[in-house]
Amino acid sequence: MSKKKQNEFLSLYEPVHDRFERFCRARVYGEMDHQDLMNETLLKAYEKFDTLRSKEAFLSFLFSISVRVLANTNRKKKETTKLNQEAFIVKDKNSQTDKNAEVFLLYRAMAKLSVEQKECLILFEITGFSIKEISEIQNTSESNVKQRLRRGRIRLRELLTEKSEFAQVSKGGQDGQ
Amino acid sequence: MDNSFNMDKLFEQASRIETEVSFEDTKQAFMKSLILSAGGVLATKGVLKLLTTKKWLIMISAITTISTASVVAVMSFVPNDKEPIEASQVITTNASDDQNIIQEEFVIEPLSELGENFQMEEDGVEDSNSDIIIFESEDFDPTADFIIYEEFDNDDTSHIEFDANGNIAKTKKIIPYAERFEITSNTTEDELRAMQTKAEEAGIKFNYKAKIKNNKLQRISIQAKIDQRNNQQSMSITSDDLKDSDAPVVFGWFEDDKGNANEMGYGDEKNLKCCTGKGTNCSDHIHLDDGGYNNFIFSDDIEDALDELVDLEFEISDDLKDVLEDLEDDLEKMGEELELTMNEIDMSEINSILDDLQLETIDLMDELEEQIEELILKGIDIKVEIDEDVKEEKENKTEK
Repeated sequence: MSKKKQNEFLSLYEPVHDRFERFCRARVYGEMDHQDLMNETLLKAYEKFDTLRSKEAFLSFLFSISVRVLANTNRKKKETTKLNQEAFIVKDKNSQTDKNAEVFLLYRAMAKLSVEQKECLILFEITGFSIKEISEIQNTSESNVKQRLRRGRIRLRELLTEKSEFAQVSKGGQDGQ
Repeated sequence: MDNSFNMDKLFEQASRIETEVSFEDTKQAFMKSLILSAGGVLATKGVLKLLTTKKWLIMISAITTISTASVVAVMSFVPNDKEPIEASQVITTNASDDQNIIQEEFVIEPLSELGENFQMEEDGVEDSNSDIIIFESEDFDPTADFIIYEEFDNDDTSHIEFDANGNIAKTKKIIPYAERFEITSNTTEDELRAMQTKAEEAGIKFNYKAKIKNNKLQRISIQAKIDQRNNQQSMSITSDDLKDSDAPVVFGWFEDDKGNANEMGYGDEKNLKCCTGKGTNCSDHIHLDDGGYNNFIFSDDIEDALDELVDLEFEISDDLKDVLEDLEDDLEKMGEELELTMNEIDMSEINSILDDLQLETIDLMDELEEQIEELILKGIDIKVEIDEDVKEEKENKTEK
């Protein structure tokens, strides 16, 4: 039975792995190793797998658990791990292209947004959830989700235009096009 | 506009960026985590035991420290020998009446300070010129501390309330001695013995030492003690200038209904006890807790004694407060250190242990997968064979 449950769980997870991995990377950039978040979320999701109503809702189910795991983790944490952020950047520099560099600058800018705004933007813009799905994941109203998206984009725009290094990279990208 | 275009482009790039962790890697990590969470074979028990032991060690040491600190704090609350006495006996008298007297505070000096002023000659030694005789009772203790009472002021009227015209409006009730003795330079040895007899009949252990010169009593030392179950008092009186003094040494005591002495007194006049209650109720008196105490402290006002009590309580509260504050600080520090230690364990030690476990579990996982595949393969083969047998039987039947 346990093996069967494991296989069923992993079979549902495999198609959404990429989206989930990108969400975790963007969501915890500079805070923690995103693999830890993924492992912890999968364990929790597997533990509560029997409560899943339908297989179609597995994606929302997984992301909802991830959001709650993060909320609990942030309550326990008392200091940011700057060391982890630096190590992450070093690792990315060894393997990334210019496009990846822009994405990680985006991650860095988003890290300065509020938790709710950051999550909304990632779920909507990167992971591809609808506003209704996001409202279910964050357990809030659709109007709140829209407001968070709007304010998050405004603030993100301000942050991105302030960063000089990003301006140089983006200018090079545009010239290349 | 350019900015929004860039943002949309950035988000698109972010949504298509290559994943760093593959599904297979994630699956493996997930399986290992499942094994660990389920209390699997490989060192899980050891890890849990290690973590539990460490945590228990820290908890136990913290609890022990806290318990020890609590015990120390409790022990410090126990009163020590340096705490002052509970109260002092207060005796006041009325100076307006010839029969009554007011006593002022007396200074009590130990024998060592009497020194040269009071030196008894040895027994049997007589001065042929002065006819000095020394006599003392059997149980007189020459080593006991003697007290010299200074002369008191008879003008204290603190027990009297005056009206607007200066007339006495209200006085406290004066209780006279049950027995009173005056010792002057004319007191004889027989009179001292009679005093002793009366005192002992009342339950007072009475001893004395006297020096007579030229048929005049010059010096007297009295040791008196009440030693009852709930009442213990001791008194030492010394006077070494009876010859030159007009004031007698007055010694007396108060008795209860049964005729037993319950309180001794010293004074030049008759009455030394001052009560505010009805009848003979002297509830305003504060008695010493003896414990071998030889000296009385006389005060002309009860309020002075009460003030001392108030100050005493304040001192205790301050000390207690300091101890409690120190204990709170120590507990807070211990709590912070414990939290730091726990965080350190969570952050580094667990990760390193889990890393080691992961390396060890990889091989086991591979072996388990191989075994499972073999079992699955064997199962398929068996099924095929059965089907073929069934086919043959069917064919045989049909032929038949």
